[in-house]
Amino acid sequence: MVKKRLLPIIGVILVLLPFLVRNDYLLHLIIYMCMYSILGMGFSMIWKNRLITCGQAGFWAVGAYTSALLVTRAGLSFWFALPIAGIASALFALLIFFIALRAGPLVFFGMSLVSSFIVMEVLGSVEFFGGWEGLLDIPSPSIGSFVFFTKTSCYYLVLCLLLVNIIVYYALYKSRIGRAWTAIGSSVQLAEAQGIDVYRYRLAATVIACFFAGVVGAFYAHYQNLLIPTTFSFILSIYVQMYALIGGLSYFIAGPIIGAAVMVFLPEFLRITEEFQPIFFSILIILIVIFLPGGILSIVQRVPRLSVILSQIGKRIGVLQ
Amino acid sequence: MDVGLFFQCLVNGLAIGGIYAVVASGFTLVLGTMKIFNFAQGEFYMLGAFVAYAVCEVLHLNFVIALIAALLAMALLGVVLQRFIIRYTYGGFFHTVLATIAFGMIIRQTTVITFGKTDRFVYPLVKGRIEIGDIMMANDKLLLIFLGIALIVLLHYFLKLKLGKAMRAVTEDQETAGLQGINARQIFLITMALGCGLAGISGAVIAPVLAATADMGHAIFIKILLVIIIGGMGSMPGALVAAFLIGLIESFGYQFFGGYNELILLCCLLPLLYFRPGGLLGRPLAIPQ
Repeated sequence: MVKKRLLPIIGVILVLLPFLVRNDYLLHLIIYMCMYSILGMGFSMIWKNRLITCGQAGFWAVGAYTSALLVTRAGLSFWFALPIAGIASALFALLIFFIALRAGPLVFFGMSLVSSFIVMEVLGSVEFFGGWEGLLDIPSPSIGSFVFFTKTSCYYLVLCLLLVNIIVYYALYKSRIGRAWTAIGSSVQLAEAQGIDVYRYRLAATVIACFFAGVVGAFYAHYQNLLIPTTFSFILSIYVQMYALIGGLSYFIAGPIIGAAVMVFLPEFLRITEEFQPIFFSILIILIVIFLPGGILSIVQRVPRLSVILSQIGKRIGVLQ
Repeated sequence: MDVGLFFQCLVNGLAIGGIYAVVASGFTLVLGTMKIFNFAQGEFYMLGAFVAYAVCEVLHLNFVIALIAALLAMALLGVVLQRFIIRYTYGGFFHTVLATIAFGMIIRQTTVITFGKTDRFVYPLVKGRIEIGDIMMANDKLLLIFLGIALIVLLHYFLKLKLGKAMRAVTEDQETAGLQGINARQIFLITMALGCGLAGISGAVIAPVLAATADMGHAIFIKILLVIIIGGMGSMPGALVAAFLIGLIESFGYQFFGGYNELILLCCLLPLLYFRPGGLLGRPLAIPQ
């Protein structure tokens, strides 16, 4: 998708970003954008299998609370809690979806929604999880004496998570599993007729997506240093769907990143207050659904024509050969 | 468990189950006829409650007028949704669903901005309770049961009318219905109006019992999804049975388990799904993927 020549340039920009952007608040937004991209890519992976999940927020919450509890109550190091949080989230997904997936995509969707809602309710009602006031005083991650306290250090941490995520997803998409997913995405019946075990591949996609949602949840817990159950609401799951839609549903890695960038930065540039943000996003979604169903990246498909036109013009003028 | 408590739970369960049944019927109608998930169903329900609040407490009119106002206003809003938004979504199933979600969010946020986040109370229509020996049943809950069943019966007989038969025809097979001379687009508008109107009037009906809050849309939508999953997508009788079942489990569950009753609901649901993936009474609907 991205031109190979551009990769080193993008890499350098990403590494130097905190020094190009000297504003801590902007870095905070960029960190959020990275986290949301990871969630969005999880949604995209499940979407590739012709399934809609509305529960990313719930699995994000599971990972966040698992890591927070392990570190605060059990004294575990963050670096161990991180993968364990991912595994916890993946196991929770497995538990719910190994039954729900058998009953069809609509039930899958319903169960993802219901499970995410129940996760939020339980996290709020039960005192062990901190109740509605949430968990406080979650320590930041540390290696030895170096504490990931500044926005810059946390940015590098989340950047590593994002890059690992992208590399793993890219590798998966190129592998046999990815080809099976593409087959399922094109036509479920044909894939089944080809002998692909649709249920197993869909379950794998869901579990992997939820694993990474859990991992990024653990990061979130230690970045914010506090967790409130109401953050992980149903609306957040809808926003995750919006990231994928705005970017472009057929672009499984770049789409959610673009979508997350749009939804994090556009309200900032337009100075839209917290109250009006859902209305703004909703109107944006309706406009995109009606006028640009392929998402922002679908404009890219028209670019080749643009470059052909430009080169034609160049030949006419005599600039090009 | 003593008899009084049992009857209280029973009445509560049937009352809330009735409301779930009416809202779920509207949702199922739209799902069956137009093959779309109206994610804004919960928000129509919430707005219906706020309309009832506005009519009763702000304009100080009769509660019956509030019911009719909620029904008509929500029906109109549903028609707006269908005519101006859903009609133009060509991207596929997911795009339509996200459009309804977006519309629902606009409704919710506008309501929150207009009315604020405080709960709005509507003066109850009936008060007090009936006492038969040890058994005490709250009057307003009994009224809910009555209204819920009344709406379901009305819907049932409506579906027997010519218009209702046309709707059922479109649900069965859109093309053949067209061959019979049924204008599918018109039916879609009417179905949407009916579905959203039912949600609105349910909200208005329940406003005296539970206050009009900003989050009631989300809360009931989760329950509606549970109803649809258990009852079978697109199956009207399944939705009714499942709605009352869920209402009763919720009511009795709250007595025994307190805040955990939702978790218990989920635990009851999962084994059911394992043994009957199509829901209790439904044939799973073939939604275009």
